[in-house]
Amino acid sequence: MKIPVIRLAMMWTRRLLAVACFLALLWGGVRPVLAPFWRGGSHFPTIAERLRSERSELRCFAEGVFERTPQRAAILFLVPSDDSDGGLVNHRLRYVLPGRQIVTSGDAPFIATWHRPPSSGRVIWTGCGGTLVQR
Amino acid sequence: MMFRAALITLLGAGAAAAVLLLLDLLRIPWNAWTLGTGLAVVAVIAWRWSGGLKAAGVGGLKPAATLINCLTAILVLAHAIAGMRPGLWDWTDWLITRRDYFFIWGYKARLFFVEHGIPWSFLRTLPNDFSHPDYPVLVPLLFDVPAVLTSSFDPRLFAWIDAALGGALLVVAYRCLRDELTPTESALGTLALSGSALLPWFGFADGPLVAFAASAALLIRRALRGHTVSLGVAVALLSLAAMTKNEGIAFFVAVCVAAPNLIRKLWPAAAVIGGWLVARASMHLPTDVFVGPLLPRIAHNVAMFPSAFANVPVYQPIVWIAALVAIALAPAANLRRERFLLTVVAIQLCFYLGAYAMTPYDVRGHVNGSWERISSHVTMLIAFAGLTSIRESLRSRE
Repeated sequence: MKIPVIRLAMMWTRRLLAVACFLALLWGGVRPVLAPFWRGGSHFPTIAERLRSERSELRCFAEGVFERTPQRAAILFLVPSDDSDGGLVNHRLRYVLPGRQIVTSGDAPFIATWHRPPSSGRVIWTGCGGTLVQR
Repeated sequence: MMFRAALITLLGAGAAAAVLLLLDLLRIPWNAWTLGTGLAVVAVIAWRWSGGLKAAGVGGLKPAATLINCLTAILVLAHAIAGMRPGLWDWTDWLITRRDYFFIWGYKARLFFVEHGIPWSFLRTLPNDFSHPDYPVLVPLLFDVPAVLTSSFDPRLFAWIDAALGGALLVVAYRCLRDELTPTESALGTLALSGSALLPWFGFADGPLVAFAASAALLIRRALRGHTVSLGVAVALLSLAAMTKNEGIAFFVAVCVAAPNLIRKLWPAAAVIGGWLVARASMHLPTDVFVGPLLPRIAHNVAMFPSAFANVPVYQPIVWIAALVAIALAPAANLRRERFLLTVVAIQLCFYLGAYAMTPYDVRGHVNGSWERISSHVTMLIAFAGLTSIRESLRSRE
C-alpha cells in the first residue's frame, strides 16, 4: 500500500510544482510588458531640466552646423568637458549630424565650438551658443 | 488566418527592408513613390504566395481562449504605446540605456534616410567602438520604411514596428503550442510568453532579432515534429535573423548544430549569410572581436567572468527559473522532447560567452551593458520548453 501512496504524493507534488512554475512564468512574462505603466510612464528616468535645456541648445547648434556644412565634411567639435558625455559626445552628435565626420581632437577643415571661445578662421555662423568656423 | 498574417508580417518586414536595399543597389532614389511601387510588387507576390500556404486548421476557439488571446493582444498594443514615450527618443536625455539606439540603429537609419541610400564608403570610416559599421543593415532599413513613405523621420514609429514583429512572434508561438495543447492552454501559454516576445529595448535590433530567430526556431521545431510546410518559412526567417545582428548569424550556426538532419535544407540562409560576409569583407567594414592578440585577452577576460556576471541577471530571471524547474520535473522526457530548442539555447549562450571572452573592451562593462539584453534572445525558447514541460507534468499520471 505504501508505494501507491508515495507515487500519488509524488504525482501531486509534481503537479503542484508545475502549476507554481506556470504561475511564475505568467507573472514573469506579463510583468515586464506592463512595467512602464506601473511606474507611471512619466517616471522614466530623465535628466534635470537645466541639462535638458543646455542640450537642447547644443542640438540647435549641431543642427545649424549640419545645415551649413557639406556632406562628408570633417568637423572638429569642441564642447566643455562637462558636456563631453565621458568622451562619447562625438557619437551623440553624429545622430544630429548624419553624414558628417565628427572628431573631438586633432584637426579638421571645420571647427564648431560650443560654450567655448571660437577658433581662428572664417566665421560661417554663430548661434545657439556656438560658432562654426572654416579653416 | 492569424498565423498567415503573422508570417506575412515577419516576411513582409524583411521584404520591405530588402526593397530599400534593392533600390539602393540599382541607384534608384528613395522616395515614397519608388518604395511604394516596390512594396506593391512585394504585396502582390506575398498575396499569391500566402494562397499557397495551407490554411491553419486549428478549429474554433472557446470563449475563454478568445478572452485570453484578447488580453495578449492588449499587451501588444500596450507595448506599442509604451514605446511612444517621448523620453525614449529624446536626444537631450543622453541615457546610457539608450546609447545603442542613438549610436547604432537609430543613427544608421537617420543616416540612410538623410542620404536617400546606404553610404557604404562612409560607414567604413566610422569608429567601431560604438557605431559598429560591420553590423548588418536590415534593422536601419526597416526603420527607414515608414520614414521614406512619410518623408519624415519619426522614431516613435519604430515602437510600432517592434510591437508588430513581437505580436507576430506570439501568434507563431500560439500556433506551435496549439499543435500540442488545447486552445485555452495555448492561449494561457502565449500570454505567459508575451514578455519574451515584447522586449523593452525599443529602437534596438534585439526585438526584430528575437521575432525572426525565435519564430524560425519554433517553426523548425514544428518541422522536426512532422509539419514540413513550416520549414521554408523558417529558412527565410533564419536569413532575416542573420541580417538583423551578428548574433543572428550565430543563431543560424546553433540551429545547424541542433538539427544536423536539416542542414542541407537550410542552404538558402547559408547563402544569404555567405553573401553578406563576402560583401562585408570586400567593403572593409571593420569588426572588433578578432583584433589584436587573442589568447592573452581570452585568459584575462575569462578570469574576470565571476566578477563580471556577479550582479547581472539574465532577462526575465523568474521566467528562466520557472522554465528550468519545470523542465527538471521530468528531465529525461523533457530534454528528449525539447532537445532542439535547448541545444540552440545552449550553443547560442556559448557563443555569447565566447564573444565576452574575446572582447577587446573592459569585460565587466561589456557584460553589464549587454548581458540582460542578449540573454533575451533565447528567453522565448527556454520559456516555450518550460511551458510544454509544465503541460506534460500536469498530464502525467506517473
